[in-house]
Amino acid sequence: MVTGRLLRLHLRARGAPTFLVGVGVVAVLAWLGGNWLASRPYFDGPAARIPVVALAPLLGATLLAPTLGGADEELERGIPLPWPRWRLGHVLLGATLIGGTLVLGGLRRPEVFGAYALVRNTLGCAGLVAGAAVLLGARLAWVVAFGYVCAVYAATPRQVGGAAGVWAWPVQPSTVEVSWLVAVGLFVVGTVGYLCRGNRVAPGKAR
Amino acid sequence: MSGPDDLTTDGRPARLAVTGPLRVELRRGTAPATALVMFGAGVWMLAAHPEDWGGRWSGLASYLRVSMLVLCALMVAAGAWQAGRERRRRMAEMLDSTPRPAWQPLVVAWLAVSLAGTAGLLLAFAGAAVLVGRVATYAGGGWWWTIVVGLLGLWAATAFGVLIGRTVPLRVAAPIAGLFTYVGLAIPGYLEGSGWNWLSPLHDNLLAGLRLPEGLHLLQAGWFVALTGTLLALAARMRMAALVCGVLAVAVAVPLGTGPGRHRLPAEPGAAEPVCTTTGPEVCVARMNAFLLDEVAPITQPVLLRLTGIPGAPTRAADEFTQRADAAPGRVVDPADSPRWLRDGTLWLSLDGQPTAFGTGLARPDWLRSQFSQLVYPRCDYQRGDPDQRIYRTTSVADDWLFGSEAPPEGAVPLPDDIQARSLARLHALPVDRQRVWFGAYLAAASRCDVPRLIGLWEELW
Repeated sequence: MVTGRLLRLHLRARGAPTFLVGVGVVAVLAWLGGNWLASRPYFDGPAARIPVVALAPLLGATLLAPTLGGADEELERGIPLPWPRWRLGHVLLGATLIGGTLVLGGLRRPEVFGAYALVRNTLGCAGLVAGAAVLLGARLAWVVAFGYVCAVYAATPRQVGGAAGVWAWPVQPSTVEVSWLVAVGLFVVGTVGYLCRGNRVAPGKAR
Repeated sequence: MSGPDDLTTDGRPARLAVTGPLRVELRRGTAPATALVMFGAGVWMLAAHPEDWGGRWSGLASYLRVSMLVLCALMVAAGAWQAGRERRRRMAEMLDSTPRPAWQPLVVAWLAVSLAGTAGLLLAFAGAAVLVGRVATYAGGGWWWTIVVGLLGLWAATAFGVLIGRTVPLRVAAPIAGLFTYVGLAIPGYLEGSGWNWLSPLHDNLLAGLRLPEGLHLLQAGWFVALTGTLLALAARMRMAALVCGVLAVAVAVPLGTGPGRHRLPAEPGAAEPVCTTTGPEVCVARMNAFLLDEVAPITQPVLLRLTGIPGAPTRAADEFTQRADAAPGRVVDPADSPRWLRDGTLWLSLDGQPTAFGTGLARPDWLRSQFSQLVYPRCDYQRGDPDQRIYRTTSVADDWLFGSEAPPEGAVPLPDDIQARSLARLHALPVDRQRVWFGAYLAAASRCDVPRLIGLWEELW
């Protein structure tokens, strides 16, 4: 009972309602965009869906970013709670909600809408955001994922697999195994970093 | 009587009242980070596809507009971040208590971010301009207009960001506005041919070497200026100014949107003028691509020499862009229409994607080879099943012969299954005149898709 109340308070303090509404809006836009792109006559499925599979998980992860830090980090840390577990649960729940909601729109025809690539990119972007929260703080946690995915998308790499599978994982087909390794690796590193260190406390506020 | 518009409190002239805060914003606001990010983004974009801008001024200017997809998104994010500062720092009440009009700090903040972003971007492109200037062979045309209008579009993007930052009370308003800008700017790319696409700062790279009318540039510039005014006035809650600028923006947007799209543009005559080799088989490139002539000729001339005198074979090769030099005044050329690759004894080559960042060498020499290979592919429509393997092998032998692939060394025994190598060796073993007769017969049969004759030619080598 106490944990349930704490969970509700925690989610409210971290802006969970805004996050949920935002993820819902992103999922609807991704579904509409994916349908529209897939119906274009001059693209096949995998080429058409790249804007959706790259940008929708990024938008979801951007919405996750501000929830990774509280209004007063030091005050929160003073509460006797197993914070690493709470942080782990927070990131896992956030990534599951983003990935799960986006995949709902893509599972109808995964080969056209890229459901698997949406999952991979959600993992990678969520990992980048969690890792950036440790290094830059929750306020700027979106910067790394935003800059990286935009840069990769803008570069429009023409290779599939190989070195591009590593550095351009957000825009690779889901069949490229190495892109999964990179995305899962980022998720693991970012999540472990966040559960160990938490949101970066601004230098002026540190004891 | 002195006020904030003529004298500052310490008696300094009024212009310092603007330049002072501007200097502070440039040093301490979002501006330094914006300059750095825009420089990095500019370098990244340039490094991503040097083949689109290398050696060509119009290509570089056009590529700046291609990069607007990313750059405008970043400027929107920067503008939103800067404008959200008052809310993040909880300064709104304090600022409201000052006698300075609300629009002044807003405009100064917008100007600081715009100037810094532009400076960072221009620094990156200045580096590319040094590389282009070393080798460029055509400097004419109004390519600089493309840059100026693009920068105005960038400033309008910052103003949009300022409006978002002022009105959306979300901590992640900046990245989300940037991403939506990204998506919004990409949409016109899916609506090709519409005149409304001119309202976007984003251009297609196919515009390199084409002549955009100055009136179009002016209308675009007017649109972006009026749009910037509207967005800033909305952010400053100056309704009348917003209305006036909005009406102006609509007045400029309508002729732009209802005018012709980008597919109805003529080529820049000087850019398309042919520049040809003076020795050996003739190879011509457009003046805009003349820096590639010394790279293209050594690949194409040996093949043309090999084809000399063979009926139906091309006698010269030319950059397909030179065809646009022949366009009569007023005639427009549709860049989406690829010219036929072989006409009037000329093999028309596409040099798109061939320049390198330093202008030396070719990015994809194998593409040139593949354009010659089109000569030997039988023009057959294989809709039912695969082609006969003998035709496939004849084609491969003809292709190898065209590029002078060596026959196996004398005395070497080909592997039993290496039928193709054996056939090529037999072709090479024929007297040169008979080799050329065989190839001429092959070209004639391939162009008619004469399957029995193609199989017969294979059997001649077997």
